Amino acid sequence: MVDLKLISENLISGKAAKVKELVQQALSEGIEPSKILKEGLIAGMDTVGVKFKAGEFYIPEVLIAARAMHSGMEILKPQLIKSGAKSSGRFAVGTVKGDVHDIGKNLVAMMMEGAGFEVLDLGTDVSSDKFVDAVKNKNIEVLGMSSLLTTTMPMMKETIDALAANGLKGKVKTIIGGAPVTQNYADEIGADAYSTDAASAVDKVKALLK
Amino acid sequence: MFLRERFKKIMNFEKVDYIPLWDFGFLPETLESWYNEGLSRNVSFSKIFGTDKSFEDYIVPIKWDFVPQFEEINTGDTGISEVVFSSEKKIRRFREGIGFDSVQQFLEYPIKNKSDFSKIVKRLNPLSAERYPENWDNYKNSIKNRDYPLGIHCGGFFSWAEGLMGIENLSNALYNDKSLIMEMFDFRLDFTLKLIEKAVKELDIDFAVFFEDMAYSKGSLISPKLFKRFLSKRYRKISDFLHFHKIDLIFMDCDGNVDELVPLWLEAGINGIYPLEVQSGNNPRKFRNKYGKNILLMGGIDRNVLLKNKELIESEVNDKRDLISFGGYIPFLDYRVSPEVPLKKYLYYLELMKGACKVC
Repeated sequence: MVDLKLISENLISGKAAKVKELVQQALSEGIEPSKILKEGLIAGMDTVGVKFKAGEFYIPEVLIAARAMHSGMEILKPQLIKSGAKSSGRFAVGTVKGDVHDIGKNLVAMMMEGAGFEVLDLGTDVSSDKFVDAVKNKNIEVLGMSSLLTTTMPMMKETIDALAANGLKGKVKTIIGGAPVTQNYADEIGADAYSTDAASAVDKVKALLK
Repeated sequence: MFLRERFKKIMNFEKVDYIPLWDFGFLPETLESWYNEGLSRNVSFSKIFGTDKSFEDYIVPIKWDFVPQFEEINTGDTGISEVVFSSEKKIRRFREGIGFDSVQQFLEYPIKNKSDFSKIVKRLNPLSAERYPENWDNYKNSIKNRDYPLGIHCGGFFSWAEGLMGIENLSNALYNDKSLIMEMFDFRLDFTLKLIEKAVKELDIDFAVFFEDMAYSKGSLISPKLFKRFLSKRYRKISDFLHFHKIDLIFMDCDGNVDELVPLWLEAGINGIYPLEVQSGNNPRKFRNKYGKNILLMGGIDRNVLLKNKELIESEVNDKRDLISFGGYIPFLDYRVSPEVPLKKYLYYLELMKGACKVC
């Protein structure tokens, strides 16, 4: 029987092929997909988040771990759907209009996936209309916005205003982040949360959904 | 005292009459907003603002990019063009405009493997005649009796690879395709040394600049371990070459929090840093206290202070006075001025800076 800790350990080391192989083996041995997700992949990404926050892991280590998680998820996802397992929530994320920086946004997306969320990555240079459409049509519970430039930060406010204008403010929670963004700014524009880094974003989103 | 002598003396911690008044540039939308506030168009900023030309205006004009460039095509949509890498691959999209409307986006990164890399190498011949000014002798004569410091660009490794591969592919390759990274970085080292050799040997260059955006607001993008494995020796080879030719002022242009990177750069022979982004936790005082005269500093004035009141602007400028007097430091804003800053406020900031930069 596959030890699910082995999946976590290989994920933490970024060994994508090994994670894929072990997930496959675990499924063929009849282990519940939701158990593999929780005790293998999510547990591994949790550790990655802790190490990142502690300054022990840098961006490449997080990215290769996320890649390993994806390789496991590729096999696991169809089985999770088949088994009717529920995700932790539906999360959409994008970098606001005029801004194409994507490292932070991608890290958030990966960490959220690693925490068992269904993630819709809207990409970069995302207009407020596109954010609103995603929330309206994809049943998004939490919307994340990223901006690396002081010049594009106002697009976060524009999006939050657009959500309100479309009657969505109470239906979706918003979280913002990026180098120039602060808690004060989040309060000022009416965002529900602010996160300093990708790993903390997971905790903040979980708290928003409680 | 001319700017060149002044610059060298400052960086040698010697006394000067005043510190050059430099800016780090303006965003296009800032200028549009200032034109609406009455700023004259078509007049140089140094004339209008009474500033010195920035050190970045004095870099030897060498082409580092692809020669020839990849083809740029119109997509048919107004103002949108794309760069074509191969028949199957479009790598970049440009949207023309000002501010939010102007965007350059990667559609796909050109390099995923060695085969992709071999395709671009053909366009990176360091000895291609087009890389240097057409009339090199005229250029050399034009700078012989200059009164300003002359600099040379020395490229970089990490940012270059990140631009070609994207951070995710680069991260993966750093662990899982080390031979690709070694091949790329060795190529880049050879390219750099060959490209700058003529300028370094034939011109009397005063300073050198690397460009590596390898940090973000919380710190270095890569670990010291990876830095040492892939970058240290290669920087050292370039800095040794520069030192051999008496170029001892070697700067690194890197945004983000550089705390952890500074000792690594110093070890590799890079002894100056800018622009010292304050919002990312950099502070010229912190670096001066920690490294003494072993480090040269430029920038470090918080761009965000221009969004605040006059007292806070004054306090930010005054805070730098003793650092300026100490030497080895030229203050300027840590990023290009943003459009929320009214022209009047910028002028107020400049007046304060003019006072602070007069040191005797």
